[in-house]
Amino acid sequence: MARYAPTIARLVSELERLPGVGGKTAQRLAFHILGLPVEKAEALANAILDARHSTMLCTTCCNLTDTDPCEICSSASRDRSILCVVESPRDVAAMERIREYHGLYHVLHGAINPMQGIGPDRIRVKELLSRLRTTEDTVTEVVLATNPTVEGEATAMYIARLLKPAGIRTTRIAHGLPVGGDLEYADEVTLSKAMEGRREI
Amino acid sequence: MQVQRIELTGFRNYGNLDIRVYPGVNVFYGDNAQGKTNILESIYMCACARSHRTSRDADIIRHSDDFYSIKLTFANQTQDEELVVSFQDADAKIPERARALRTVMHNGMRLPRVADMMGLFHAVIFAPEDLMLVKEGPASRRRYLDLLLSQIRPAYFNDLQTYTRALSQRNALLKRIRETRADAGGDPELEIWDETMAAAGARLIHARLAVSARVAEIASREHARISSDTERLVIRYRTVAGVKEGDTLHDIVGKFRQRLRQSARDDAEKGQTSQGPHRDDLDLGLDGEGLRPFASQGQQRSAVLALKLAELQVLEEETGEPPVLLLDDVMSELDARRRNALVEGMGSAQVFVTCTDAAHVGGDMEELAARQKGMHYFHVERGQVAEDPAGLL
Repeated sequence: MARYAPTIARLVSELERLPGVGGKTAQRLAFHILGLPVEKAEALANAILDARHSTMLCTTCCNLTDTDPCEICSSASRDRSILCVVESPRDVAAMERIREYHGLYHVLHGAINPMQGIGPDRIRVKELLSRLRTTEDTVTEVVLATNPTVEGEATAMYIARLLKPAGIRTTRIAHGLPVGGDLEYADEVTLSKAMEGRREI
Repeated sequence: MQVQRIELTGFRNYGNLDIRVYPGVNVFYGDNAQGKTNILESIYMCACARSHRTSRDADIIRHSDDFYSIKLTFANQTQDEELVVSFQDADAKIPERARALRTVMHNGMRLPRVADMMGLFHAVIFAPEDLMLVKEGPASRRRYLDLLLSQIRPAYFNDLQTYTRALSQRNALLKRIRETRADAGGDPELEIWDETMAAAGARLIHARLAVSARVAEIASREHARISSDTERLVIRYRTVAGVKEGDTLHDIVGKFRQRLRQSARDDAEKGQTSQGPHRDDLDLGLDGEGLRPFASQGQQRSAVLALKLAELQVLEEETGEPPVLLLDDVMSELDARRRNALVEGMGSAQVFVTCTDAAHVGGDMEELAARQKGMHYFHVERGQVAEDPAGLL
């Protein structure tokens, strides 16, 4: 890195810290930015700063937002009787893309993972419980949409148990086959999960 | 299953190898440490995703390379298939390669998980390492069951991964409970891991009980033929107390969960889980006596051979076609009676044999070669393989 001027080296090493970006890519990005007109570079820098300064966690659903409560939580058109629990803000975006779900969300920001020292107290389970207890929303169903990993399943199970005494209907999203795919190309594990989760038609 | 072509890159002592092999018997001969076993190892890795010799993939990479790749072209009953198993070692100096990368390609398509290759290609290996089955601790016998079941039921491998992961998580939590001096009894977080382990673990136990019963039956029959003695080989899967053969999956989940709950406080004290399929064993006995402490060398060899022949038969029964057989320098270790039993047990399978003396194997396997589609010889010397049309005979 000694062959670059210190300011350039700093830019490269900052970019290198980003996920999925290695040394080569960081250099390419840095020189691309340096080649931009000053306004464009400023626009990029400002976009980063604005986004960082103005986003926060929604005090209701813990999703990343720039208004509090977030757009979804404050929307009048959402169904307030159903609540979908996900691991990350990206999962909310994924669910929103289907345009079929019009309920509310709760973002946990992680899953229970003792090996990484993440217990239930380190993810936003407490917020979920107090929200269900105090909110004027009349949530009648909680959909657990954590990832189908060992940790995601364990987290779903943990929350389901906590909610049981409250008598709220708790559901888990299904595992199964990708739509439009051929059965023969499905991997065995997914296929056997789909078989387990079969239902009457 | 019939292997047609083997291509190796950066694998053990092979920089680049590309050989075509034959139905029937393929003999790899040459001096020790020339790379004969490495060829069998590479074939085996296409069946089980791991080596029978090491669990460290980095050990398999050739010294001057930073990755290995195995490409196997083979035919099953219906079609030709191609499997590529490769491993790129981690390199701390290059950020993109901070983690080791394992890839499996099936017919040109990358499989999302290594587990997905299970069941595509079947092989059974007979190697000197097999003696560990009777000489060493329960881990080697659990591994025997795990590898057999993974080849028969692809979902088994996934259950095994889930269980292992849940076990590590439960153990991590137990250690934390111990450190904070909390009470493990009734800890709601611990109960979640009990539940996860019970669900995945019960599936392992259920599958292992069933396959062990089948293995016990076949191995006992084979053993009676091999052994000159009149002793009977008795095999039984020993698992979580209270679980018995014939229990439904549901029963096993319940019993295992209960055991985990009961041992929560003890487990927390030790910082690890004391019961479960990770501690189970396949008990081997001769007429009710435990095999290991008293067995002679000959008794041990007979028991191991019976177990391997059972593996072969179960695999053939379950998949409907004979798996590829890999014999790593085992013929010279067996006496005539056991050799005959082995050759008989081979049926019509494609065979790969290694030996130091080609003429020796030729004699042993004459009958087999006659029954099958001939014998083909390959001379192995310092990582070079040359087909030898005449053999050294």
